[in-house]
Amino acid sequence: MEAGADLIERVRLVLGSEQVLTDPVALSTYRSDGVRRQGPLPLAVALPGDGAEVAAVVNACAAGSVRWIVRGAGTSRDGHALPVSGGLLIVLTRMRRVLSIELADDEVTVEPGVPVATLARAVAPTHRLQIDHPGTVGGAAAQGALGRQLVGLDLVQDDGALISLNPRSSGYDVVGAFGGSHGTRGIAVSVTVRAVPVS
Amino acid sequence: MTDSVTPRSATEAAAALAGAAAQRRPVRISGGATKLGWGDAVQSDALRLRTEQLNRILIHTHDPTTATLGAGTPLAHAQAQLARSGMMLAVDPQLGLGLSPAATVGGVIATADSGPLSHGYGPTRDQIIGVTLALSSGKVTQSGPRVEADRNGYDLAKLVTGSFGTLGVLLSVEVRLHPLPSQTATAFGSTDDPEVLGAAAVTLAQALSGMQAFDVAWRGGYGGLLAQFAGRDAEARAAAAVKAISAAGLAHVDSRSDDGSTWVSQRAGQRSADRAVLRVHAKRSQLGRVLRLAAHAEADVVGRAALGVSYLTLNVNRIANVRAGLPEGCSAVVLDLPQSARGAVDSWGTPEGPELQLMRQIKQSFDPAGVCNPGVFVGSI
Repeated sequence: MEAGADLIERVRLVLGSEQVLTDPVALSTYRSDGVRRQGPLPLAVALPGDGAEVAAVVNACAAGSVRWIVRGAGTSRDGHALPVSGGLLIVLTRMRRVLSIELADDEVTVEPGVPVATLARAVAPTHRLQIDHPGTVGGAAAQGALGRQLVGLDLVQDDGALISLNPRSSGYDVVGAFGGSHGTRGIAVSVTVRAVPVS
Repeated sequence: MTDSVTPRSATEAAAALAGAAAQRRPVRISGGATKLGWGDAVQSDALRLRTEQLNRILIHTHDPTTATLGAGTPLAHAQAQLARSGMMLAVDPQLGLGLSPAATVGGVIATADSGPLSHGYGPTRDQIIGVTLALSSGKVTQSGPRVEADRNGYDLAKLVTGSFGTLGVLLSVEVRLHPLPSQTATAFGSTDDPEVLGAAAVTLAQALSGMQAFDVAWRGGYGGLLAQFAGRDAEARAAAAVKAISAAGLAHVDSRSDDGSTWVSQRAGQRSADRAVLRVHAKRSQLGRVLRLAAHAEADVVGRAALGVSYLTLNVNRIANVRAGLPEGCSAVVLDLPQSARGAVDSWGTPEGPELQLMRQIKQSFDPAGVCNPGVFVGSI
C-alpha cells in the first residue's frame, strides 16, 4: 500500500472514518486561507478531537514520512494555512473546549480551536483580552498575535511527542519563542492565555 | 591562566567565537561581570570574551521610541543617555553588588534580569524588538522589524533573553523605549500574616489598574505591598489606592510621593553578597504560600506581587527546604551564592524531562560546537 493510502487508514483508525475527509468536494473547502488564496488539494483532512489524537496523527505522519500542515479557522493571510500537495491537513476546529479558568491568576486555558471571540466571552465580564484576531486561539498563538498574553502551551512535536511547556519553568523561553513559529515547531493542543482584569 | 578577547565589532566577535569552536574551546562571555556567579560554573580554561567594546548607543531619529544598544553598554549609562531624550528602557534590575552599577545591556538580557517596572511594562523580553547574535559557526544572525522574518523557527529575541549566553554572543539589541514619568507616588500597607499579604496581592492586582510597579516585601516577620503610580496624577492615584489597600486587609496604609528610596531598596533586595538569593516563580495565587515558606526559612523577600516572581535572600542550608515546599509547577533558581557554597548547590533544580530535551535540541541547533558558556545553564546546557 502506498504511503498516502496507508496513512489515511492509520488516521481513520485513530479518529474514526467520519473525522477523516478524502472526498475532493469536501477537501476543496479547506484549500483557501484568509485572503482566499488557493492551495492544492491535500491528501486528506484530519479533524482530531483532542491532544492525544493530534499526537497520534502526527506520529502516523512521521512514521509514513508524510508532510502535514496544521490550521485552525484558516484565517491566516500569509499562506501558512494552505495545504501542500500529497500532505495531510490537520484541522483543529473540533478542539473548542475551555479547559480551565483561573481568574485569580488572570489565566485561562483552552484548546486551540476555540475562536478568540469565544474566549473573550468566556472571561467577561471580570476580564478582557488584549487580542485582536479573527481566527482561533491556536492560530493567534502560532502567528505571534498573542504576544505577552501567551503564557503556556501543550505542544505536539513533529515526532508526535506531547510536551507541556510551563511558563514558570527555568530555561529557554520556549513558550514565548513559539509565538510566530507558524506551526513549524509543533502543534499547540492547549494554550494558556493571560486575560486582563477589568477594574 | 585564562586569556581573553575584547572584540570591537560583530565581525571580530563572530571570528573569535568561530576560532574557539574550531579548537573546541569553551568561551565564557562576560559583560560587566556582575552576574558571573549565576548559573553553574564554566570550565576554568575557557576563553573570556568581553563585550565592553560593543558599546554603541543609537537612538533612532526616525522612531524615537526605539533604540539600538550595544550589548556591552552599561545599562546605567544607556539609561542616562536615553533620559536626555526624556525616554527610558523599562528594565530596572539591581545593576550589581555594591555601589558600582556595572551590569551591561547584554548581561541583563542574557539573564532576563528585571526589576519592579516589569509589572507595568512587561518582562525584559517584551522590551526587545530585535537582536543581533554571533554564532559559533562564525555567522552573525539578526531578528527584528527591519530584518526579513524567519518564519520557519522560533522568535530569536525571546529565545536569547534568559539564555545565559548559551546560544551565541549577543552583540546588540533593538529595544522599545517609554517616556520617563514626570512624577511617581507609592501607596503601601503592611501585615504580619503571609496569607493575608498573598490574598491582598490577588485582590489588589485586579482592583488597582494602571500601576507602574506592584511589589511585595517581607522581612523579619513583617511584610507589605507597594503600589507605584506614574504620571502627573500619580499622587492623586496613590492616595486613592489607599482605600483599596485598606479594604484588602492591610494595616499602616499610607501613600507618599518621595518614593525613590523605597524602590531602590526593593531592587537592592534582589541581590546579596553574603547569602543565597533564590528566585521563585509561582502563580500569583500562590504568593501567600511562598511567603509562608520564606518566613519559615527566615528569608527576606522582595518581588513582583502580581507576577508571582519572588527573590528570597536566605542561608544556603535553607534552599532545599524551600524548594521542597513549593507547589508543583513552580521554579526556584539560585542566583547569588556565597563564594564558599559555589559548586555545592544545583542552581537550577530542574528535573530531567521532555522540556529539557527540547532545550538541548535548541542549544544544539544554535551552538553545535557546544562552546558558548557550556554547562552554565539549566540541565548543564
